[in-house]
Amino acid sequence: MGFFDLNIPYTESNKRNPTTEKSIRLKLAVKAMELGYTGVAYNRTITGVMSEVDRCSISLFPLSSVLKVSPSISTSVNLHRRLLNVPTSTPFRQYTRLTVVVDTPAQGSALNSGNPVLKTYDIVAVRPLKQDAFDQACKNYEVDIISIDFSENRFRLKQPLIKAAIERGVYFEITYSGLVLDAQLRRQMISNAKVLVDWTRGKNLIFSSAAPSVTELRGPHDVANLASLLGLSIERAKASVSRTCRSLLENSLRKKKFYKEAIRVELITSDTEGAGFDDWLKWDPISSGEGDLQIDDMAKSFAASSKESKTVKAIDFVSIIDGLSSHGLHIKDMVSETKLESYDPIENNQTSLMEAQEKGENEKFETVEVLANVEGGETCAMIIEEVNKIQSDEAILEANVRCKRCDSYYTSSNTLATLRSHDELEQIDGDSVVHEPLEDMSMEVKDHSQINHLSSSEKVRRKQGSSLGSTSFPFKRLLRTSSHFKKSRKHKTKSRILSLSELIG
Amino acid sequence: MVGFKNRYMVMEVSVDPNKDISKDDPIILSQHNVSKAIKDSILLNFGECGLASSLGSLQVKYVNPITKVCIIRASRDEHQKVLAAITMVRSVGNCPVVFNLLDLSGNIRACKSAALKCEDLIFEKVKIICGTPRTEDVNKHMQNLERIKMLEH
Repeated sequence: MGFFDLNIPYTESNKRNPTTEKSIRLKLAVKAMELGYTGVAYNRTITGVMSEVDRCSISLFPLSSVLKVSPSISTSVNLHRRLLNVPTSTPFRQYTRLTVVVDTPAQGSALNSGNPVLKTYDIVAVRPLKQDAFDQACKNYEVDIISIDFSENRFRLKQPLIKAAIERGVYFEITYSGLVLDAQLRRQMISNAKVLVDWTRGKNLIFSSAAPSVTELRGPHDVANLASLLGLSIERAKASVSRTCRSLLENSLRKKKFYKEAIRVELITSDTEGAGFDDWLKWDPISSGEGDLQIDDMAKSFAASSKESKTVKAIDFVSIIDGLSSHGLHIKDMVSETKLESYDPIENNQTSLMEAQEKGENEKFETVEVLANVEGGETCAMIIEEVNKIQSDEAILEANVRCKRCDSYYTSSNTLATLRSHDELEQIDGDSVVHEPLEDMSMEVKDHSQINHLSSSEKVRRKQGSSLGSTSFPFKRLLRTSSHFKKSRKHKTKSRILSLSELIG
Repeated sequence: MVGFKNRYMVMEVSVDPNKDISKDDPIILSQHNVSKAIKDSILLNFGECGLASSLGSLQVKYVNPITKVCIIRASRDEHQKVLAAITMVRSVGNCPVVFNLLDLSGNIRACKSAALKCEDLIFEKVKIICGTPRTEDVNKHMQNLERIKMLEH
């Protein structure tokens, strides 16, 4: 269990002296690392209305600059981690965080789930300044953290609101640098923060530093002890710097990297295809994908070397997010990114069942067509984890059949290809298997014949992870039921007649 | 059974952490100035009552000016308050410092072994920063380790 400090201030660097800001932040990060923390988040605070300029521009530090500041870091990190019972192999993680100060409702309206600016940050926090802003933050705003300025008593913390926020999975933050800084501030902060601690009872509560300089940063044990001064039990206090932060990070990263918090699309290189499942099982829920510093590397490469952790980013999400519409992530967008120019509709005609739940046939045809465009040799595998449940076999079958019909529909526009497509359909019919995992909520549809026939590696797998979607399980393959085939055959003949008549007409 | 119990805290002091790494320190830590800083902080944060109730057992047992490891004893009932006060210490004399808890133990034996481990590792770190140490420094370090071993209650 690592310890986290999710508030290392990041100030705008376009002021007079950009280097001092960076050096202070670097010192803070190094100190946090020395004290035994396993992760920090660089916090950018914006006041006023959010704009495109506020996209994440926070630079994460490479290992070389860390070693430059403190060449002896690996020994002290090892010492402190051993004392804190943290494994020394844990990487030091860096995250980005945005805090939006909300005074007027206009500022708050930017905090919705479709805002592409928010998606560039790992964590999003809100700092309400007025009572109604706080109410909205608890009820509606799409944020991970509500950070309250305890140095001034601006509004009342009401228990129902706080309960509602906790139920939504929003976390509350208390910053301790004020407690260390000044005696007058300390009095204010303790009295105000005690109310929050009472109402939350230590649930969904995190402690972070917000330290303006290294002098205000404290070790995890000391922070936990300070938290117990505010009325938390010692276990809760410890959790508020470690476990709660971890679950907060898991949630927020899932929000950022997954479509509907469940679907992840990744490119798999052809040589690792066989070992694909192992990779999925090893997946790290709190890795932001970049900025992880491995302490082992530090010990090895003592001289300044800019080794960074080997995290292969399959699809650059940031660039894709740039081109997104406001309602989130579409699979179509992803696919069009990987489309190749040399594409032959007859040769590489592949249909796969993607969205069985989508209503409206038109939409379905669109998706199918787009998918068909993917070139056969393209090494793109889509892993789809979906929370939505498919309850009955009929739904699967229906979708399957409909998919087939789409297939023939699509090819019938190509007069030359019709016969061939029917041949294919025959094959498909013979070979298509409906895999049903043991939990009846998940399904996998594969067209084996197509994959074999065209020797393509494009696979679309529909998987059901755990209900949280955090881990992926391998499937247990099963049965082919005869009734399924009968039904689908019936449909197929119908569709064949239709397409032929179309041709004649 | 003993009715009265103590807690022993092994703490690490980083002197003037904002400054870049340097070999000479702006202040030499001693038992006297560390205990004065802690008592001032207790008085500021917990008042006369808090200071009086913790004063009975509060003692700075050991300070190493080279590695800046110190051992502080406090009664079990008051040790959370004392630790909170130590956390909120901002300066010893005129020099900004940061205290960091390394180990918390219930008897002097466990505390000694933890302190010896920390001393060794931190001395390694000092070696890296300052280069190869002179023989007198090594001798001093050995003396300090002996001092820790001699500690009682």
